[in-house]
Amino acid sequence: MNEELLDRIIDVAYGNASLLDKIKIYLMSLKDSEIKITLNEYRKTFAATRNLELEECPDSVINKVSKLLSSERIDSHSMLSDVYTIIFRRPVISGAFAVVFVLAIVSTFIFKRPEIKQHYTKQEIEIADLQVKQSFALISNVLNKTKNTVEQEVLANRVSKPITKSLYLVNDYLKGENKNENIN
Amino acid sequence: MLTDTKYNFLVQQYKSRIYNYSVYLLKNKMDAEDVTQEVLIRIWKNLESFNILSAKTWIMKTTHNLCLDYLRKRKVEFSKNPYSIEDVSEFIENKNEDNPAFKVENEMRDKKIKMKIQELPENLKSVFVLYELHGMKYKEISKSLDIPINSVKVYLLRARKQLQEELSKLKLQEVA
Repeated sequence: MNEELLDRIIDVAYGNASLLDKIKIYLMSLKDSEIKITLNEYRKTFAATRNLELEECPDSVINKVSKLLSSERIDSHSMLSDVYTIIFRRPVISGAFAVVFVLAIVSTFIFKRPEIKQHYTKQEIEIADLQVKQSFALISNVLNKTKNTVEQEVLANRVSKPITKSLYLVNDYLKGENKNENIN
Repeated sequence: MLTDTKYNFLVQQYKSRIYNYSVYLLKNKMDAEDVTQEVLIRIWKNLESFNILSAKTWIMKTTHNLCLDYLRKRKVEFSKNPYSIEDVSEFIENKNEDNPAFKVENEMRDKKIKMKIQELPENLKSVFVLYELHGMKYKEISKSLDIPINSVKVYLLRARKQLQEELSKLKLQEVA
């Protein structure tokens, strides 16, 4: 058996060959018993190899490593360092943070409303207070005068007198009618 | 907190692969434990330097290099094999209580295959273990071992052939 054929048989046995090669070798193995035996031997080894279980790492190793690293973990790794690592060690994330930061600043300038800042002295505030009081006093005077005018002049002369007059007139009229009835 | 999570994830994911690979390369469980420990510490120290997606090749590369260092520095005791006769007989004693004989036979066959894989030359063994046992791809193996992809393919083929030859020899010895 030549080397090239053996290589092909191995590839077929280990499942690395193309479909065409698989068919060729299968057909050849039907005719040639040596090929068939070789193929089966390699297949068996392949199957046995695939069934091999991985050696489990002993827990003692992990425990030793954990003990060795426990002090280092406490010392060197805090939440802040984790955040720092996430943000600044990854170019994409740090880029995204930069964009968000710039957008925040720009939007602050765009949507900022002008603030009216008032700076008054104590004296000015007292004067303003006094002026308000005076204006209220003036308004109060005007309202009092208006009240007096309405009560004494408007209601007494312009409303009450005409009403009284009209009542007298009505009364006189009614008296005159009574006289006429009596005469009749 | 996040680094802890990342580290714990990597440890859970790769601890057995690291140990398994080291056992095959060093042929000694004690040394394999030392290498595993060292690799796990290096993972912690270099946690920020590699991406979690490329962790597999980084970890296997580190494991491979450390194993080579161990092989260079120490005179590895080849006579004492992790799958020696004592281990197998111990295994039989334990398993006979619960399991049928054929299962034990299969386990013994597996031990023999493991032993023969360990006897392969270092370069063939590395590629074979990573490809056949760890299910890594040619590209990943190429990166982990720092060798061209074509070399990976050639080594794999040679390893398969050599393993088969060794198993056939073993079979003949058993029959004789």
